[in-house]
Amino acid sequence: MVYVKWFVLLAFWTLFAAFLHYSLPKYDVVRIVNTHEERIDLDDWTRIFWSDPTAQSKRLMNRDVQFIQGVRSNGRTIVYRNEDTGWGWPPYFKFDTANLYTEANDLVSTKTDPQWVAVRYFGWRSIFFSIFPNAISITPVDGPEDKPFNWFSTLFLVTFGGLFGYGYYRWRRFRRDRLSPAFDGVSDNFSAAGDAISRKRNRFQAWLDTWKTKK
Amino acid sequence: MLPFMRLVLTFILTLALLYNALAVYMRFRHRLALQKRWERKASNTCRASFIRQGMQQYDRSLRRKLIHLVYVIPPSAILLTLYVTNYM
Repeated sequence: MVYVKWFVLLAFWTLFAAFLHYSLPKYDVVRIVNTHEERIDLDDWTRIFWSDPTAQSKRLMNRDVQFIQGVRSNGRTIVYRNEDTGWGWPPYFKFDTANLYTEANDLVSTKTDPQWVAVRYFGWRSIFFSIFPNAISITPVDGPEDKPFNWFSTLFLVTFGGLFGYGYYRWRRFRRDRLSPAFDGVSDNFSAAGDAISRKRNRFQAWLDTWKTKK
Repeated sequence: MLPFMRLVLTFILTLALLYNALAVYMRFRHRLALQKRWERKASNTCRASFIRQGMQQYDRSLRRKLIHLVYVIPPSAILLTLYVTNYM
């Protein structure tokens, strides 16, 4: 039974960590190769990995989405989508999709004459499910090793961990100081009630036995 | 327009709830502190009037006004995010 508790805890924290890993911003240093726009079908379970840029987009089953194609310094390709997050989730309030598209096109470069850029993005890239990370901003950098330090995510995780640790500590103290004595009182009462019932039963059982014919 | 209105409505409701809960809690905490202070220092004076005076002081104080920051900080964070994402 103990395994159930650990399994549930593990499952919860894994889901939460995955959620944070999807939503928090990350940086990539890439060379932008091209940009394009594509009509995407949005009527399967991967709908959650695409944005809701406008109010009407919830009703649309397919929509045009802009993409930014890049190559990382290790030669592997990465494709970002370029969508407004609008007022929805995750709370990036990205509205400048068209401007970002223009900036990306302005920073296109070739292998022989590369222009490295740092892309701040969120989300996952999955080839099998066609999930693309959402590029939030693009800034030119000097070289392929020039990745900016992820201040926001670090500070966010540290603060969140600190708050959670503090809350957990306070909860344990509360339990120890206030709840445990109360619960002990309740369980004492239950045991006393159980004893009282057993005593009555034993007496009743003894009286019943007097009716049995002895062999 | 509609998602924005939804966001504003959600924010107003949540922040109002949070503000009121926090305000009530801070008042309660101050009252407890006043009771302790009375026991330690002024147990020769009238308890009810000591606490009443202390609470009136609290009602005028800066600390009570600072709780209104609950309304200020989240929209400011949103505006900051908006600026950083779109204009930087």
